[in-house]
Amino acid sequence: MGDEPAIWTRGLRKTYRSFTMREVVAVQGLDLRVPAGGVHAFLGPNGAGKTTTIRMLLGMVRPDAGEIRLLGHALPQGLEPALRHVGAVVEQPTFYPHFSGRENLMLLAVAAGVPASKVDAVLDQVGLAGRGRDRFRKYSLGMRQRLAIAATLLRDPQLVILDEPTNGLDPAGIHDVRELMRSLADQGRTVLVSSHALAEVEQVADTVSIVVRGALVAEGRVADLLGERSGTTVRVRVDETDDAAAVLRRTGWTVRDDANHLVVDGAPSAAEVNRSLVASGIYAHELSLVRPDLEAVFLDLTREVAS
Amino acid sequence: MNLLRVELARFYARVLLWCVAVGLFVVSGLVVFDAWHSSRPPSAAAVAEAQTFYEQQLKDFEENGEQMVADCKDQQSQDPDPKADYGCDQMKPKLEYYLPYTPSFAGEGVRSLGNISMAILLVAGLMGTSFVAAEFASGAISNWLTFAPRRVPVFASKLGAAFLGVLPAVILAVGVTAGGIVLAYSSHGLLDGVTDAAWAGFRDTSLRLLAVGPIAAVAGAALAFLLRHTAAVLGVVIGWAVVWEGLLRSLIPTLQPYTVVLDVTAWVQGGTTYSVEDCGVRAPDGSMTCEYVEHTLHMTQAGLQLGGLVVVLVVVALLVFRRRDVA
Repeated sequence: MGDEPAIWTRGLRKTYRSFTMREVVAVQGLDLRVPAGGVHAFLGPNGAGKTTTIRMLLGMVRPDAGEIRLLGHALPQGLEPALRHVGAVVEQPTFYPHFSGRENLMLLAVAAGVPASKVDAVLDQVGLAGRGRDRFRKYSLGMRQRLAIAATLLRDPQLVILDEPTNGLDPAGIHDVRELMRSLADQGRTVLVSSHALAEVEQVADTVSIVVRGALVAEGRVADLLGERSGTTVRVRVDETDDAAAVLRRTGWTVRDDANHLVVDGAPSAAEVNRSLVASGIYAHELSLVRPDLEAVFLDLTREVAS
Repeated sequence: MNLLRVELARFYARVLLWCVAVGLFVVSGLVVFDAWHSSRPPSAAAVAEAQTFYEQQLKDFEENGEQMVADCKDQQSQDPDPKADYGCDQMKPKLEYYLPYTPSFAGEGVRSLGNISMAILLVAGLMGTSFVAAEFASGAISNWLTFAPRRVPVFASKLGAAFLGVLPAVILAVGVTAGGIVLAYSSHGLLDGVTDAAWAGFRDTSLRLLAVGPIAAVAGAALAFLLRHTAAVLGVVIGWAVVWEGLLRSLIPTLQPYTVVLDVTAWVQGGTTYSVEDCGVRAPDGSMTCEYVEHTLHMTQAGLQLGGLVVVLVVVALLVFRRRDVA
């Protein structure tokens, strides 16, 4: 595919009409670029338009405006050839309750022209080999998620789209999904994951797009995004909290209380914070550098947009 | 064909549909029981009672018949309608007037087969509706469209599965009903002398009944594509039945040939009649008189109207499904 991104959108827009016929903008002018290969996190608060965007990518929802290219195919004309190489789980996975997990996958395999042997392979891959013959309606939420992920793998997809894939999974399940996403990416596939579990995403994502109110507010490599937002934050524990806060504020840094600690933003380094305190005769019991994480970046960005 | 195979597998896996099919067989049983019950020959006691009553009436006629006929003719002559026939020449009692009525296979036998038509219409329609609406209600259609994104084949396969899926149940129900009616009449010795034309009528009615089921299932499935919930489809159908089939039909009797119930009856029975009240000034004295005028609804017209309705439903459902967002 060369430099062709796995997903590319320009000016994507979708509005809905509420019951009172009020226009609700779900996605407004979204320019999304998901590079081919690797895990791409698609983040945003509830109602940011993530699921609507994913539905538009999969042809379930018709955009009001904008362009979409999926694996090099322009939509909607190229939807069918594009989706032959896409596996997707959108929101709560829903299958036919009166069929077993294996039967559900068999039906999908027949429709997609996939050999039956692939069904057992993907069930094994997601850890459902022993429960494949149980009826879907008896599956726990975690098992349903696993079955949905198994369904995405049936067609050896180039692009896997997972919308909140760790919902309902126990810690072991979350770990498995993380490993699976990483292994898919390591095989050269592209994984687009929409999730609220930012700590999980941070561990596995190579690149990220953050949307707020239907528009893109940040994108790029996770490491770059963290680096851009990484003004030094130092956490200090002292006995003389009020005096220490006054000393640090006099130097022009921002100081706030946080559970018997002071959190100092804007200092050039932890050593400078310590030096200022010692110069005033205050000695710290504890002093640590707070590393910025994706959650902090996400919250900063969403607060900025909200304000 | 792959999609159709998958849809048929789903269709036959639905427990609810099997329960509904069982309901259809129960109705079949009731129709057969009714045919057996109504075709029973009169009992010896009923015949004896009729004979006694007949003899009393004959005696009375022999005593007063002359005067009764004269009175009858007098009343007839006073009728403003010159064509009025009071049947004065047939007033002499006959035994068959008093014997319990024994239905004929050619008439009531064929008609009682048609009694199952509404059950087939409703059951097959519900099967088609439930089959499609369940996918929308559960959200399974979203998952399915990621595997089969071309909506026209998806639509066609689901309607095809509804059409083919109900066939075994409908064939069985019609077979049980038709076979049961034949057995019922046979057990009462009423099949002797049944003409070839009567048998052909019975066969044709059975075949037309078979067509009602799959078409109703397709219509139900199309409605489900439009409304997405079984409850919504039931609401629309009940609303239609109350407003169009009931209220408007009563208020504007000339609309009767455009009601589903009459069209299905005409289709199954090979044509039917309906009456429209016609009031006007016909009497020489200028007074207004009303009479019920019987009209015929031909099978072909009924079939074309029903077929047209289903085609419109299917086309509209397809256009909507092709464009509508699936969430």
